[in-house]
Amino acid sequence: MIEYEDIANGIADSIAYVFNDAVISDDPYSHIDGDAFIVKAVSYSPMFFSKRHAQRTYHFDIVYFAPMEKPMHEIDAIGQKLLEAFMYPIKFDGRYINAKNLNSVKIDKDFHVEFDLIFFDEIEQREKHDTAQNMELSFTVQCK
Amino acid sequence: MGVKNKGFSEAAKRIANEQIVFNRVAKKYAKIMSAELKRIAVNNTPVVTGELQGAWETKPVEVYPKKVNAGVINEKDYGPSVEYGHRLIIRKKYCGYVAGQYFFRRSLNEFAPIFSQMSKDFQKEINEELGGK
Repeated sequence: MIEYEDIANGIADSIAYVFNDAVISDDPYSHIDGDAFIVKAVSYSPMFFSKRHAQRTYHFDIVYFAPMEKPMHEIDAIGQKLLEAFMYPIKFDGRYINAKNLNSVKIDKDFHVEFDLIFFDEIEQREKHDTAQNMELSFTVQCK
Repeated sequence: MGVKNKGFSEAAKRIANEQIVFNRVAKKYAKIMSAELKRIAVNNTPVVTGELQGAWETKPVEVYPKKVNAGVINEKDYGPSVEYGHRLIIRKKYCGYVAGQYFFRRSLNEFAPIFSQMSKDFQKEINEELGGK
């Protein structure tokens, strides 16, 4: 099962690929005073097809949090670049997933990019058999 | 001497009848769906003064030859700020951040299974009206 942290890290990597020295966080942003990206999962809805397999749907909201003194045209340019970063597949846990329903909203000086991540996953881990642990291979090397 | 193609006029009549049936049934379902979405959105909207909650309206149903448009709208200017969150600025100084409520996103998630079920019902009713075609 893919952990949420892996997905969030994958999204952070996608942002870092475009913005090399960006501050990327998933903390509550009351303490951040600007020029940072916040990765936030807004909703999660799994749809089960069997006991083990489900279609997992995450809705993410990525916020570009600009400093107060930054002019609007620069915020727009960075927001557009952020939007373009998610037009390519996001890599996490060895898989490449396309962001769906990509959308952008600007509220005051915050640029929001929201999208859906929809993928199939194995929810329950398969039971591990310990037969391999019980097997032993022993040999002796002798010199004559 | 004129040539009459009886088959063609019957096909035209059948297509016209299908269009009438589609428009009628689609309009009915569009109204039901938009009313349902409005009900869910109203229930999920956070209430302080009740203005935002009371501002939900259903859009008039627009019927086109192959599609029907319907929806709900909230024209309160501070709606997006409540949905996505906003900065708290006092005397031109940044004082904190009010987190987003994402009430419309929650409403859409709640509406999605209802929408898929109603789409199936719509398809079924269209098929029944047109004699199982």
